[in-house]
Amino acid sequence: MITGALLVQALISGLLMGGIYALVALALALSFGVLRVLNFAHGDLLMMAMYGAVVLHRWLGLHPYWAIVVLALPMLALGWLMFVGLIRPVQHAGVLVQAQMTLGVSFVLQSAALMIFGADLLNVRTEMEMAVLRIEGVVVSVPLAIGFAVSLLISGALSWVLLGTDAGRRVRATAQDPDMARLCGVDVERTQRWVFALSVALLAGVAGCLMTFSHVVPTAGLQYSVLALLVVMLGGLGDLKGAFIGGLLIGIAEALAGVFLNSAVGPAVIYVLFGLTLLFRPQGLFGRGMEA
Amino acid sequence: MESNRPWFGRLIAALCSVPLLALAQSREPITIPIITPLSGAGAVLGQDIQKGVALGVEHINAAGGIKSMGGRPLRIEVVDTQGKPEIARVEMERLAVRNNAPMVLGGEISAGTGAAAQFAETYGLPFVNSAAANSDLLHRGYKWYFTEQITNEDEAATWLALLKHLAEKAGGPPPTVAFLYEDSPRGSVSAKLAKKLVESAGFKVVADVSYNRAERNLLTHVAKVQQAKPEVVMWAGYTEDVAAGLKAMQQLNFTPYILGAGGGPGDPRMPELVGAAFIDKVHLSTVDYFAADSERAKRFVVPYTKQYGQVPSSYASIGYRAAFLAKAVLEKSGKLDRAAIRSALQGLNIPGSELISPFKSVQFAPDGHNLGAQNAVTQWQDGRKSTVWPPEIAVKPPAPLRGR
Amino acid sequence: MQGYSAAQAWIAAAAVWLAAILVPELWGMHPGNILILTLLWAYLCVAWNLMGGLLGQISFGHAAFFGIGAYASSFLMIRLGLSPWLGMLAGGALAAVAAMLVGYIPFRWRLSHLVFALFTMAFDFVLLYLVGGLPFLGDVNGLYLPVGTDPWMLQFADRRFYLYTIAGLLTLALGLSVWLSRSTIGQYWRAVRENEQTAAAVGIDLFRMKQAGLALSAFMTALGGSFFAHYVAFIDPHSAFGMDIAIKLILFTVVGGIGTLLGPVVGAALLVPLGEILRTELTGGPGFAGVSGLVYGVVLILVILMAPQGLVGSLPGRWRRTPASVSDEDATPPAGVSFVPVIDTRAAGGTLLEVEGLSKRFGGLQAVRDVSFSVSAGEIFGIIGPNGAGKTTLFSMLSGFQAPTQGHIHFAGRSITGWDAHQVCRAGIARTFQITQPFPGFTVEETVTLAARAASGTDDAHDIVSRLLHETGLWSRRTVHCAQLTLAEQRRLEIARALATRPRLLLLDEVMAGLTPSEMQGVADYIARLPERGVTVVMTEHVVRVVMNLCGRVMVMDAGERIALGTPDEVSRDPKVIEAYLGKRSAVSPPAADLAANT
Repeated sequence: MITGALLVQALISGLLMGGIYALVALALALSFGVLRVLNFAHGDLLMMAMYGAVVLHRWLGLHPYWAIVVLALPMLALGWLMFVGLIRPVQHAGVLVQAQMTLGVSFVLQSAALMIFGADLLNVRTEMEMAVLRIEGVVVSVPLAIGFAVSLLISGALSWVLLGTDAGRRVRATAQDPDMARLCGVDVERTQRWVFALSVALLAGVAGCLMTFSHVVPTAGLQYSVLALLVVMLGGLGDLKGAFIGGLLIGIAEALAGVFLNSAVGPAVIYVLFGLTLLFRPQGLFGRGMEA
Repeated sequence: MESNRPWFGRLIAALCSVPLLALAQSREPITIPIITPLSGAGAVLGQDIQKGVALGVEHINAAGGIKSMGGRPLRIEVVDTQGKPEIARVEMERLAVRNNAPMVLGGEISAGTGAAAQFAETYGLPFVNSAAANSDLLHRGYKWYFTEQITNEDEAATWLALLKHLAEKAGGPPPTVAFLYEDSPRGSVSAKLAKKLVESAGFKVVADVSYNRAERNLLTHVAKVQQAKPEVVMWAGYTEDVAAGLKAMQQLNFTPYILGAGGGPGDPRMPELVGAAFIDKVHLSTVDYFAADSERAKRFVVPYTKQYGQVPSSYASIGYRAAFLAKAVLEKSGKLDRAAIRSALQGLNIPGSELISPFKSVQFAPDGHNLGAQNAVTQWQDGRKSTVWPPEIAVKPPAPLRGR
Repeated sequence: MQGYSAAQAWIAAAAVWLAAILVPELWGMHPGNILILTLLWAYLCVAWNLMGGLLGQISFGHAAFFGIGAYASSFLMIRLGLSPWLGMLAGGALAAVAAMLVGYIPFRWRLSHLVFALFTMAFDFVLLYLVGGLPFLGDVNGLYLPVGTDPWMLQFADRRFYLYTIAGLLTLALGLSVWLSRSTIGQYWRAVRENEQTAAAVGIDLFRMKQAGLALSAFMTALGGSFFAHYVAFIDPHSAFGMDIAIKLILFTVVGGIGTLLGPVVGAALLVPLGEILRTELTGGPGFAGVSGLVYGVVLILVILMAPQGLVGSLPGRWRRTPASVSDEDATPPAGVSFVPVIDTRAAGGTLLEVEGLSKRFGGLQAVRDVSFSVSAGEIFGIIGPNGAGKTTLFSMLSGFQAPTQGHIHFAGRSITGWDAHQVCRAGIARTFQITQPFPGFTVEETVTLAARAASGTDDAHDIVSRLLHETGLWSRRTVHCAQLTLAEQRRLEIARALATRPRLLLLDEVMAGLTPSEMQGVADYIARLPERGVTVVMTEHVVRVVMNLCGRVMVMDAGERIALGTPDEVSRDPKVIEAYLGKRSAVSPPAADLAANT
């Protein structure tokens, strides 16, 4: 039976989970917006960061939130190297070739994780993992809520950088028209390199939040990649605000599907939602038209 | 470019034959393959089975190999199917024709087992499943397919027996029951069978909630179950979803008596994943084909724990079991002829005391199912998994349903 | 005409059959089985490549059609006892219908390729989960197919016949690819791939082409799915609709070389056996898993780094495609000034184009506001205005690339408001593009020939093409690929391409931009003679001097509105016009000086 309390519960936990999806998607939208490269290894890079958080906890006893800080730099470096070594050489080779390249990276990362960590799921046990706030009978998971807040914080910081700083202006100029940006004296390749590195580094934030309550397996990547792609598409290609709100919507839709549907068909809901959105807003929720 | 293809064929042929040639010249071990997903989404199963197999083979060969065949050592080739039916099918053909395997062991998920069984039948190749619990294969009239493993029906029957037992001891009105299960064949078939049994036994099923194994957030699903206020939750799932669901229960302050099934609730790492105190509180128990604390499992559990640094999972026990089953069959048949192996399988009767599983025996019915298959129920008590059912092998009694 | 080489197809087919016959003979049925999977993937990739390579539409959701085929024939066999040979066709038809439903919105609304790709992927995921919830399709448990020996039921006791079946399918698919790529339709598809806008501008119906391509590709993919189901004799949602199917399809095709005939075959022939070898040989002991995936991934990355165009795509030109055919040197010589008699001049003097209250709004931006004018047959009509005046948007509406928000367009007495670009073209309006957009992979001659054929629907375009090429001075460059032309040549090619559609009205969008004065003069002279030959011209131009010299009447636009209309003299004296140019863009180039020079 579906009661109001259950609905509210679903809405809230969906919204909070959506905040984390939003950050995953935001990172993808950023790199897609600036490089026009579809990164199918996005989820696998996230998976690596999640393993990173596990390792840091096991070796040094670091809380996953600290892992965000520690992992950001190695992830930045990883992204930087990946761009220079693998993405840059195929940047002008067409979307498919790039997709293929990132799929190759995805295979490598997934297999490496399987070799190093095994197929068992790994997690980090923390004090706060089960902590909840109870508001009027609705349960709010503390790690989820903090994850949501961290996601908001990072997204806010990101939009401040993009809108309020010179570096941000260079990024936006490159996103809008790389040729024009080059004419205006922007070092486009450098900008793209750092944006890609940054989008990978953002995943450290996601990983830290996820590892406070979730777990990781080597195959976890693909579902996050697909999810992020859909969210980015749903929000409007390369539109950061759209990606963020798209993430929230997917989180909520997923939770509501859990309430209303009780069969193997349930997970189809977000894909149907995606299709319907395109039906009514082909440019995505916040896109300003897409001529690709 | 096209004309290169035969060259590829040659390369495959060469590569495939290298290990076989090398082995043929040595002590001539008997090679029996086991198909299992070593990679892909089902890799947890295959990885653990591989460990169990390695230990089983080590023990068998240390004890003198296959005695009826002059003490030839046993070698079990672990074949990766990635959990995909098409690879299971191709592998069955490879093993049957190219490798001339005398029999094939199954450590595969239900989809791959189904596909493999079809081709075992085509080739007249004995195929002994020790992993998949799907019983529908047994109704297909196969002559070469044997399943040592418990089936969904066995599982449902055990579930019901324990539920009845708990209800009787508790007295009062029969407890209300909810079903919670992941929707792959593993979870959904068990739950559906059990639901029928439980309802016809007079229990009231107040909720029936399924979810996808890939679901990341189970809070709403669990909240749905909680709303129905069941006393007992019968839950079939894998490790990741059961862990996520238990966390959700803890957050929702929902503490029913949990009778579980499937790989999840019995996973030895569950206290590590969710926390031991809460697991005790919900009396997390599992209908399982492996009871690590039982006396008979010790010869496997102790060396395994020593070698791999962790208590073996039920999956790992499959590997060990399969190795010993292969040994028993080969000892009985005395030759590597498939028909002889099939009749050896039909005539097999391994008493429970020689097994590491809670089975009464391994003895195959004409339809290929194991007459002696019997589940144990293990329950987390004080941070340790104890066998609580059936009474003849129970180490402790199950926690009472009421008055907690 | 370019197309896949038949010789390559013969060689490929011969190699496939040689392998199909020899491999099981020499090494038995296990390599035979791997060969079956290899050929199946090669076949599926060839089917995907029709869509992705020839037509340039990338689908991430072909697993949906694979699964539909697999489930349809399995279901029909189990429940109705229908032979899979027929069930296959039913599945194919069902997949084709599903494909057209899926393609309808993205193609009708001309959504970006990426949206189409992800739309197909979402469709596949919906089916994956939906089928898992349908008991009559065996829900998540899947369907078992009986294993027997009845060839009519696609069951072979001699397993080599599976090999022959898939080799046959692959042969057919290769043959179809060659035939299609060399047919007129194939030419149209390639034009769509190379440049959708120009393709539409020469009268190719993008929507129908894409729908047809997707339906055909889906049909073929479904046949492969059926074969797979009956070969494995078991099907469940993940093996039929799994995302990894689509990933592999794209992977093999791209590694082999997308848009080439042999690429998909080579990619599959390399990667399927490689995957199998790695899987069986690199299994290792406990803790060793993952090595095979790692090696596979590394090989993939290396191949892409070393051959980003794919293995076949990186070979010397003749392997990729047939060389472009060079037509006879002694073809029809230039026929002097006489132009092709393409237009009846019936309507001369009358109104040819009538525009009433045309407006276009993009969200909050009013690009064109309430513009009206009419153009008589035989006129050269100019439209000028500062940047952002709405000229290009106006052109887009006239040529059917954008539907007006309000207003009407009448052409030759018919309302063409809201028509698609290809319909407008066929009605007799041709346009050039401001940013020249030829088909980069086509030669000059192919481009013009295609335009002549697509618009008229006839295959005989030889005369008009050779005359246009001579007239525009491109005859000696006719075998050169469009991408290699100079800017001036590209402009002339645009004009030739547009004229090849035999228009009554030619819309010229800044054809002078970037040309030297002498080049400009040549183009201007050419345009000046068009009305004599029955072609009315509407042109926008930045170089105001040219417009003033060429045009009988000029319309001036600013901020989306018409601010003046009249003879060049009248217009250049209009204070509003002077303000629009001087007041708003005084700093940059001196259009006002141009205006002054012309008065």
